[in-house]
Amino acid sequence: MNAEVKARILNELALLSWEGRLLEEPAAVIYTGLPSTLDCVEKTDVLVPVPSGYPQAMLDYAFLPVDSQLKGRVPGAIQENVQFGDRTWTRISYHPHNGGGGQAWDPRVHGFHTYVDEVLAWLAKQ
Amino acid sequence: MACETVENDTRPAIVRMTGAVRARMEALLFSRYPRREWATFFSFGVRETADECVITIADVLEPRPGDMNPDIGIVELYEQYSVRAAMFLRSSAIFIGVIHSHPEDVPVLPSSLDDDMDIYYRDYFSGFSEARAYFSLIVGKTKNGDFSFSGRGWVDDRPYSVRELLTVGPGQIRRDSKAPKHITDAEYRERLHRLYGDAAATRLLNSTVVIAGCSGTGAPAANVLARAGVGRFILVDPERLEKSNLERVHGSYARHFEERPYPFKVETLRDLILKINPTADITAIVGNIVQPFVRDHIVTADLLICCTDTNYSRVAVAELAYRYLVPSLDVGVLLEGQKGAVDHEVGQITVYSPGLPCAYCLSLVDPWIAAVELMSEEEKERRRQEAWDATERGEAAAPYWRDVPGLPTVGHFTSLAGSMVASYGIGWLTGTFFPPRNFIQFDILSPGFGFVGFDAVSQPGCYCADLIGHSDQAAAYTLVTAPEHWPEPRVLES
Repeated sequence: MNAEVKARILNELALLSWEGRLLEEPAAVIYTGLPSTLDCVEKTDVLVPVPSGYPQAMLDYAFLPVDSQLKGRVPGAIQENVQFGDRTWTRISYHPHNGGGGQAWDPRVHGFHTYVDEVLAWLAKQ
Repeated sequence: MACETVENDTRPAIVRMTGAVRARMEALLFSRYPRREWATFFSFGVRETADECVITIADVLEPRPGDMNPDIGIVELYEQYSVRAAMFLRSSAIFIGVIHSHPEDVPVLPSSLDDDMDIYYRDYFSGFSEARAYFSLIVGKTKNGDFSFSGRGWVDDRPYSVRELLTVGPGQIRRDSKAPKHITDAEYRERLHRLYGDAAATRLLNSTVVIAGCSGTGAPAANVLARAGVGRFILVDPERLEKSNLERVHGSYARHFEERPYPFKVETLRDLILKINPTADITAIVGNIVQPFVRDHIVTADLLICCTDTNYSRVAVAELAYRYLVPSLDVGVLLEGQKGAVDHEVGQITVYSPGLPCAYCLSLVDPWIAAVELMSEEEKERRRQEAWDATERGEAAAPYWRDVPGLPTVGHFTSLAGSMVASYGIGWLTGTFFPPRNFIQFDILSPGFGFVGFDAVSQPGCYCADLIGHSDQAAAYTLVTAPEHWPEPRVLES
């Protein structure tokens, strides 16, 4: 991972109120223990990949654990399963900065520290 | 920590600063001239490359009354001033150095007192920062007003000797060098000498210009700059020529398409420049300005001319301007029309310089287009498929994929825009003229050439206002990075 991307993401994760962890290969951030409003799911992890050219390239999509009961209940089409580290995740079509209701992406403002709020709003939309 | 050990393995360093900072420093440092010295601390960022180090002066921590001894001719800094500088260091990611003057006509070589000062401050400041860098500069003037300098520094334990000072700002790019080149073939540029003076011609000879994007606008820009006598070029482009380039890329010829693979664009442009000026120093890089290896070269340049006409490169050149103090001229063209009727031929030139607004402040970035420019082909294909699937489900396709129309350009207009941006580059480098506005748009098919020009200011709190000179120490606030699917950049062998 490019040293500047890593510096940037670690700085963003330091601003998080929630726990976030950086995976370097393939590059992604895992938000851990985010609250769910679904009765049978108290907490969930959500993975967001680091796009090529980040942070100029916008954050997009959200991944749920492959066995998550939230799949099909949160908004967004279910896409393919992808291996990140030692876990398998399912990509869900969620595009807050690309016509999905959020602000236009601006890397001076947005990052993993703000994307968590979009993810929390998404989890609450089920 | 003794200075004697510093002489071994010392590598060259370039100091960059803005014209505004230099003016403040000089007013202060020469305020007790001709017989008395004065000094100030300054904050700076650092970028170390494989061969050298570039430090960027961010600001001057001017002494307040009582910070230095005003009653003696040499510099004596009091503890309160040192503590104030150390407190800045503790709260910042950048570093602290010291600059002082020597009296008029006194050589700017470090004295034993200067050695003692550097030993003391290098050690003192190292206790206030996790990373350790310290630089010390000495400046002086002769009775004739000739400026001289020396400098040395350390990044961790690596010693550096300052060889060049680059001062940049709107209307000003000045390179003070320990070993400037001198004109030997004035006849070739006799008209330029007559119009702008010998100093301007020497200035061009000692200039390093980056041409980023060596195609429709970059090639004619380089052509003009080479003929004007620019001494050193850094050419950057990742692509090979295509047959369609023959119509607009200066330096490309039919013979380039006789055998595959076709040559890299930087290769043909290097050949063109060398035909004009065989003594030109050229570094041809197959790569992209966003890549760290390429950035290592760019931070040594006087001026960057960006001819890539992409959204992300506008972000990148603005970042190079405010973080690394590398000024640039960004040029783009747009032709509108269809079925043989052309309605508009629009050119756009933007000045990026420390203190001027970035591409975001100027609203010149489309986040989606920038994202597409940085995407891998695999991701584009996946998104297109998902967009098609979404349409099949009766959902909107746009969040997955929107086509970005390619911009058709033709040689007559790219040559015009490239020549224009080169002329502004010549004016800026020589200090003889400057674009009338920091943002210019014109349409050669409109009355009055459809001229639009304005000087905007940075948005409050924008990085372009807050991170001036912060160099690599502002990595956590970088706005654009090289995608990992891009090939590694490389310098083409000559």
